[in-house]
Amino acid sequence: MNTYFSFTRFGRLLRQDWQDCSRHFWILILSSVGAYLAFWLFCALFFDFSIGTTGRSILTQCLFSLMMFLAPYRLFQNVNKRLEGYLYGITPASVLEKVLSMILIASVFFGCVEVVSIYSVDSLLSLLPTPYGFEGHLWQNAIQCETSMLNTLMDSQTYEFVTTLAAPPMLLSLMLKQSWFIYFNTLFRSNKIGYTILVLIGISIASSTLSGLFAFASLYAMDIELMEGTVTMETIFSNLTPYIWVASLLTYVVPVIFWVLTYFRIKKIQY
Amino acid sequence: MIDIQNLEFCYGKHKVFDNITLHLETGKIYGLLGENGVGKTTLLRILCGLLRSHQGCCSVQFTGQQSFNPGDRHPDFLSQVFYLPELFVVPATTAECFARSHSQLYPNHSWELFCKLMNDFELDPKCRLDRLSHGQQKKAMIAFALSLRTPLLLLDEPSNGLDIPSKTQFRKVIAECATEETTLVISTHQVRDLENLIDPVIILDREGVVMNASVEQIAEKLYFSVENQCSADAYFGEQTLNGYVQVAPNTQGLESRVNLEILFNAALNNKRTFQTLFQR
Repeated sequence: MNTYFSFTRFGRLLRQDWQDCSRHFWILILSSVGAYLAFWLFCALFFDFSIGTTGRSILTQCLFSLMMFLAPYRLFQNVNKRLEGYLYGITPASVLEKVLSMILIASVFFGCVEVVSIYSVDSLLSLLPTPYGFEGHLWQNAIQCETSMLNTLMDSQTYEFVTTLAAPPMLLSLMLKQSWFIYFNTLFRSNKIGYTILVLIGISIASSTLSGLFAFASLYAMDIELMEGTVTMETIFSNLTPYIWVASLLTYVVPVIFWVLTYFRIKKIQY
Repeated sequence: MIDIQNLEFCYGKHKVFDNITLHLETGKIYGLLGENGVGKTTLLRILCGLLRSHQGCCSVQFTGQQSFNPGDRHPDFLSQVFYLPELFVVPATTAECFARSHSQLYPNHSWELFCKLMNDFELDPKCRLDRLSHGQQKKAMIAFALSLRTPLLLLDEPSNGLDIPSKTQFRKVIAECATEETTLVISTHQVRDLENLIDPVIILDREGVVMNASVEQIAEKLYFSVENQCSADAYFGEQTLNGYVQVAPNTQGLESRVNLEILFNAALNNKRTFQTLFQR
């Protein structure tokens, strides 16, 4: 067991990793807070109405996604580099400990601190007695599931469960999505962000083509029923349920696959 | 302690090692010499687990412990080995912070020794590493590497970039820190800087190991001298202002001081002869 995981060693590694990346960590947090403050200033100066929670929650979602995307590339940028990353390569810890430490810092710590910082700043700004600015608080978004159109349409407990599965709470969703970037950060040695964007574009094209074909096939079947006048709400949902299950599966399984890939990538890196 | 059997390694199609066999013992300071591109750095990187050999076996066994394959990067192995490359990038932090942070996973690290070595190199532990000159950064990293007190320490061109007093200081601290439990492997082109320090000497070339012998063995088999004319039986001779500095077979059992630079040139010019001469 000691070969793969030791609490003492993991604690020390976590401390070492944290000390190595804390500077970049706080720079990222401060820059996102700065960007959010700049947005508030812009609204307060140039708008003649206050921004409600809906608009701001979309903006914060975008900001969180961007920051979670950038975090692994800034915090652990050197882990696979021959010159800068050799110390990481010979750090006396197991691969499992290194991956867990990376996930804990880049996903959990960074995600929580980022969300808490932005929402705290948002709350403070919405309390400011300025004529225009922000209105209401966003805190509930952090733990609330992303509601989908299906959720609002349906009463059925099963469908609600399925759609909740497909849309995890925002913070968890950010952490899960970041697994992609953690892996690509260890995979590419140079131009990491550029290559990641290219890969993401490729994946988007492939997945949208595939899902388009599947959607076309199922809608074609429904179209016939619509023409015959036999279609019901139940039929629509029963046709969509497999897709929601696939989406749920991808939401939770794909991050696990990427974490496993990260493990093997770190294990196999040659410096 | 280190046993390398039939090791093969290549970068893509470029073969660096083809069937290398080498044995290194505990408690010695090995000097690893070789021309550019023969694989000195690659060998050091294989020994510390940063690179994995493609064929053959490399095993490291510390006193009273199991044998490790460096390529497995076992945490217990990594905690007993440290590698200092020729070129490195230091973090934007103080030497003190860096040492405290990166020494946590090395069980034998001595903070007192780190402070003493930093003091010996006339460096302040509170100085920012990224604001130091390359030579000062190197001294700080050498101090850190030695303070870890790992049984296996691999140094790649450690004297490169050091000024003359620092080279003297470097030899002094290495001699102080070397114990019977510590094995140091120093790869260098600056043989004169480390002439009185390294023993045994390993010379690599593109075909493999030319020699792996102690200074005593070398002095027993070779005779280094300065003559007016280059002897016909000399393996290598170099004209200097004082005459010919040469190395010849020690047929009469004479005592001489090993000149590493002449030895290196002689070994490269007479590979087969030296391989036979120092065959174990």
